[in-house]
This record gives sequence, structure tokens and C-alpha cells, in this order.
Amino acid sequence: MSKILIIDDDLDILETMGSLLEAEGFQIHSAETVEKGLEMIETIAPDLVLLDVMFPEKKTRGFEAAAQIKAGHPKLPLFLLTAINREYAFDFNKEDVPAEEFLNKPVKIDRLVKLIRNYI
Amino acid sequence: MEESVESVRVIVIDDEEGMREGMRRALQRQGYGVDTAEDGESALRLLRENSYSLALVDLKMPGIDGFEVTRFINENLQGTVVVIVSALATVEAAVEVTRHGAFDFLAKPFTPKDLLHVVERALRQHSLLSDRQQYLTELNSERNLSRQLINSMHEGVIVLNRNRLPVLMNPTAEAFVGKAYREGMSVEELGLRPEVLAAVQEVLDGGKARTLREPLGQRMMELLSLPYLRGEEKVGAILILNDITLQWQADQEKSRFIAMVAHELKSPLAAILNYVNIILTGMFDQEPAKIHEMLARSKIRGEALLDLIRDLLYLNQREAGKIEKSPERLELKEVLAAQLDFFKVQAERSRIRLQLEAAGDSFPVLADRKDLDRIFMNLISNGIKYNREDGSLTVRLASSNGSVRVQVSDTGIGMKAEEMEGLFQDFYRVKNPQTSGIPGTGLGLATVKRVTAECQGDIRVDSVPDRGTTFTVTLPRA
Repeated sequence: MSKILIIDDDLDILETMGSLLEAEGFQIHSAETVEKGLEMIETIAPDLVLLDVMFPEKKTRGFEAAAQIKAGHPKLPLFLLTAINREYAFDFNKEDVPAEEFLNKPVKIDRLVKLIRNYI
Repeated sequence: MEESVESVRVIVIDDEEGMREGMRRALQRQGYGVDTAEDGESALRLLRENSYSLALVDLKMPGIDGFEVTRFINENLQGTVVVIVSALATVEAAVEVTRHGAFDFLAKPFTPKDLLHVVERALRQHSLLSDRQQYLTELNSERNLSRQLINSMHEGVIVLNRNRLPVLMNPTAEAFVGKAYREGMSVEELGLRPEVLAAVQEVLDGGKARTLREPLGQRMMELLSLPYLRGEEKVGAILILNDITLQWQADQEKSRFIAMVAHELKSPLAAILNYVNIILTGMFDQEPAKIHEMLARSKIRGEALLDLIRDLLYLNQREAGKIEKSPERLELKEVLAAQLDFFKVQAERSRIRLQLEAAGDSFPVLADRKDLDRIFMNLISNGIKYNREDGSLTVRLASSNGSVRVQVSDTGIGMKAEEMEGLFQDFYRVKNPQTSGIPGTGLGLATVKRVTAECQGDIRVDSVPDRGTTFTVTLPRA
């Protein structure tokens, strides 16, 4: 069974996204901080990572985390979840952030599942 | 410009009395105003004191002679035309006096008709001179005015010639580029962005005026490039620089805020939709308790969303200046007692004890009642939300030199030092397992800080993890 790691500080999102993806047949692991998420990438070796962009300690923590993840695991598919509107994006260029997909919250589960199946 | 004869004053300078008087009579008959001087010294005195259109100057006088008087007039009195009167009637003499600045030469002896003829010609010259003088003065003052206007402009002005060399920079432009204008300096020295130089080149090549928005050093500029025309001919380019740094920063700030709002509005909505989706899939149809729990979570997130929208609307009204302030002298003790009373039911439900301690009888402040309610409602509400069961919330009032101090202390979860950083920023919320179930908009304390500042007050926070948090608000005593 494919393993998906969700890193998001919103516990409701972690729980619900986890349940919905589990129903689709994925094995779900979740982390509510970037640090815990980075650790879990090493311990559980997920097949795909869903990463939130905004974290309480820093509004663009997710972008930095994306670079950290890709530095160690360039082949690991990474989806960035963000509720920021594109036109109001913070000081970053999408091109500079190494992620396979960018998804706008609220994410439509059907679409998410379809995208995930493209990678695993 | 024709001068009427009456306004024309002539000075006759001659040491020969007969000559002097003869000329005076002839000129006065024509209506000219005439003064006479019998030597160079008295002539200079009169010339200094009065204004003459014409001086008839005898060349040979004892003491200061005609040459010297002529030189004096030429150096000091540009409105006075000199005609030399002399018996040395040679061409050389005529050339010599003209070299000294005389307009004409009248040889002795002469008839009254000769005299008037020369005088009329000289006065025509005088009239031309004064026209030209006037014109030059006007031109000069116009140039002065333009220069002054350019120099006092709030916008930077840079003029470049056809070869793109700067030929003029006003002080504002010098301040913007951080360099003083120097003849022969190159446009590259100005530190303008390549896009700006391209726009200048475009204008020089016959293109249209353009407006750009580019950074210059630490500032954000709006630049306008225009052709510099002399008549129809294009002789260079003009750059107008407008400092829009503050406006730009405000725009950036606003964009950031809107991005945060979008995030904060969508996050709870995403959670609610996820819960609804899960319930709709029917995967928990056999577990009513689980469904109930998910609905309860959705309700909490929905309520938080509503609170956030309320807070945003309130902030918006504040910023739009739609909230009228009516400061009045209020007794803080009463305001706080009323607030605590309002929270009594909520506190009882969480089994939290509310208490008010006042070190004194009276704590008057000058403030808007709604502002004080907003500050303490937020602080007391937080003190209850982030407390523990069977905890307490204490509001302490004290006075100290000219100010009133209110401390709102809870016995709750407290915060670590790193969690307190950014506590008063918009949308900041301490996130840890202990706070995850507590609804909040992240705007409460940011608003409290704003409102406190508007009341000329100050707010401070002290906290110990697992022991509690104390907010201290200081307001000026009325």
C-alpha cells in the first residue's frame, strides 16, 4: 500500500484529509510540524508528501521545507498545499520552489486523488 | 517705447557758463527737464542722486574730465545715454569718446538745431535701450522663476541632452540618486535601472512619453520620460521622478494582509468541507459517535470563521474611519467590573473563578467606552479560553505616576518565549496540541494592541508555560 505523509499544522485538515485518502486506499501518516515531518520522511519513507505552506512560526515555512525535502530526496513526489491566492503570493517564485504540484485549499479530494495516482 | 518729452530729464555738464546756459534754454524750450553741472564733481553728485535719460558732457573740464564722467555713467548708469560736446572736432576724438562709451559727439560750435537733432537721436537710442533693458530683466526673471520652480519641486527632474548626458538635475533628483550634479557626468552614474535608460533612449529616438515604476536605491519611483523640445526640435529627454515608496509599501502591506485573510478564511472552510465530504462518503455510517464528533468540529471551525469575519469587518470599519470615537471620562473599575460580569456564565461553565482586585478607589481614564470594552473583552476572553479547569482569572488595578495599570492574569497553559514572538501580529496564533481545540481568529491581540495605542496606552505580556499569562495594559490617568 502506498504511503502518503501529510504535513500540516491544522489538525482538522490532517484528520480529514487522512480519512478521505485512507478511504481511497492509501496508508496515511501525519505530522503537524515541519520538523516532525522531516523526521518522518526518514523513518517511514513515504511514497508522496503533501505539505502545507503556512506554518505559525513562519508564513512561508513550507517553501523552505520543500527545498529541505528535495535536497535529501529529489525523486520523492511533493505536493504543496496553500490557501494563499496566487496573485497575492509572498516573496517567492513558484519556479524557485521544488514541488511537483501546487494545490489551492480547499482541495477537491477527487482531483487530489487523481493527481496522486499520476505519481504513485 | 516712446517717452513723452516731459518725462525726459537731461543733464548738461560744462565748465563754460555761457555754453551751459545756452544749452539749458534750448532744451527747456523743447520741454525737457534740464539740470546743469559746472564740473565733473558736481556732475557725479547729480548723476548719483537723479535719473537722466541723457547726459551732454563737455570733454575738457578741470578736475574730473568728460572721459571720466562718461566712464562713470557707463559703469553705473545703464539707462543714461552720453553725448560728448567738445571743440576737439576730429574723427579721432569722435572714435575715442565712442570707445569710452559715448553714443554721439557734438562739435562746438553748434547751432540750437544741431543740438536738438543730436539730442533727439540720442533719446531714440535711450528709448531702445530701456526697452531692451526691460526685456532682459523680464527674461531673466522668467528664467529665475522657472529655475526656482524646478528647484522647489517635490518631484525629481533630470534633463538629458541628445547624447544622453545629464545637463540639469534639481535638488530633489540629486537627493534621489544620491549624487550632486556635475557638468560632464554620465547617465550611468545616476544608478538608474536599465529599463529607465531604455525609456529615455526611446524618447530620444522619437518614441512617446512613458511612465515606469522602478526602484532607485532604497526607494520606489514612478518615472516619467518626456521629450525635451525647443520649438519643434527635439533636443533631449526629461525625466520626472516621483517618490512613491510609502504608497508602494502600503500596497505591499495590503497585499500581504489580503493573502493572510484569504488563507485564514479558506483554512476553516477547507476543514469543514473535508468533514462534510467524509460524512457524505458514508464511511462512518456505522459510527454515529464519530459523525457527531466531526459535526461538532465543523461547528467550532464555522463559528471561528464567523468570528474572523466579524473581526475583519470591525478592522475594516476602523481603518475606513467609520468608527466614531467619543472619549469620555470613565471609571476603569466600573468598566472592568461590567466586563467580568459579562463573562460570568462562560467562566462558570469552565469552572474558572473571576476576581477583580483594585489597589485604590478611583482609576479614571479618558477614552472611548467601546475601545476599553474591545481591549478588555479580548484579554478576559483569552484568559478564560487558555485557562485550565478550576483555574482563575484575576484583573488587578493599580495607579502609578500619571497612569493606570491593569493586569489580566490567568492560571492557564502559558507560553514559551518563542511562542510569544509575533503575539501581537495579525493572524498570529500559538499552535500546539494544547491550543488546537481552542477557537480564535488570530486578530484579537493585534486589535488590542492597535486600540491600546490609539488610547495612548501600552501593552505588555509576561508568561510562564503551564503557569499562566499576564497582560499588562497601561493607560494615561485622566
